[in-house]
Amino acid sequence: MRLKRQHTPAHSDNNLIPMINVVFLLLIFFMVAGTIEPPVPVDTVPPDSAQRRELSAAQTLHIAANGSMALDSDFVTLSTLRDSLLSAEATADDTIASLAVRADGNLALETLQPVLDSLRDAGVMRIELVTTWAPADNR
Amino acid sequence: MGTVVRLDTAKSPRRSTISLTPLIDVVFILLLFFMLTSRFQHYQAMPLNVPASDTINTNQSERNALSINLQSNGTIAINGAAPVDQKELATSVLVVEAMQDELPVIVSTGADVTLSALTQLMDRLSAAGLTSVSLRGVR
Repeated sequence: MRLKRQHTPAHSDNNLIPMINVVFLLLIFFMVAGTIEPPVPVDTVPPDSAQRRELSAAQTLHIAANGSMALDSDFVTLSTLRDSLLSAEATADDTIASLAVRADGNLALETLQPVLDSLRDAGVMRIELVTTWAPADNR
Repeated sequence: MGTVVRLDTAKSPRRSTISLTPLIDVVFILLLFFMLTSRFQHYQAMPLNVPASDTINTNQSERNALSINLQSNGTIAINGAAPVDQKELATSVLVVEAMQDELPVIVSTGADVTLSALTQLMDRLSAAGLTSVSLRGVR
C-alpha cells in the first residue's frame, strides 16, 4: 500500500503531460498567428476590398456606422477632432503625414464627408481607408 | 559504471517529483490571455485623396479629370452621361482614354451611398488602371 501511495502523484502528473503538450501547442499558435491590438471603444466592420496595400499610418480614426468616432482609444467628436489630432502628434508645421480611417462599411458617406473635411482642415496630407481583404470575384 | 547510473535514475523520481500543476496553471493563463486578445483579421490600406472643395469645383480641374457620379442603386454616371451599371466601367471608352492620359478621377456620390459601395467602385477603378482617385462627396 505504501509503495502505491508514493507512486500515485507521479503517475497522475505523467498523465497530464499529453494535455500540457496540446496546451503548449495552442499557446504557441495563438502567440505566433495572432496580433495583439489595444481595445477600441467604437465597433467597426471595415468594408471589403481586393487591393492589398500595407497600412503605414501611425494613428487610426475609428468611425462607427452611427457616426461616433474614436481616435486610437479616445472618443472624439467633430469639434474636438482637430485638437486631439494636433496634440497627439507634435508637428512643427501643423500637418500630419497620414492617418488611417477605419470606418464601418455601412457608414453613409454624408456622415463621413464632414469628418474628411475637418481632417483636411487639420492638415492631414494622406488618408488611408482601412479595408479587409476579399477577392474581387466574391462580389 | 552501469550500476551507478541505474541507482541514480531509480532514486531521482522518489526524491524530488516537481508537481506540474503550477506550470499548467501559468500556461493556461497565458493561453487564455492570447486567445482573448489576439486578432487574426489582417487589414489593408486604401489611399484616398480629399482635396480642398474650392479647388476641385473649378472648371479647370473638371476638364482634366474623369468625373464619376455613384448612386445608391449602384449605377455610375461618367462625365455626366446617362447612368450605367458598374460592370461596364472597365469597357467604357472614357475610362480607357482616362487611363491612357493618366487623368485623375473625381468621385462624387448621391444620397444614401455607403462606404462599402464606394470602396467597391474604387476597387473597380483600380482594376481598370485608374489609381489617383479623389472623393468630392455628396451632391
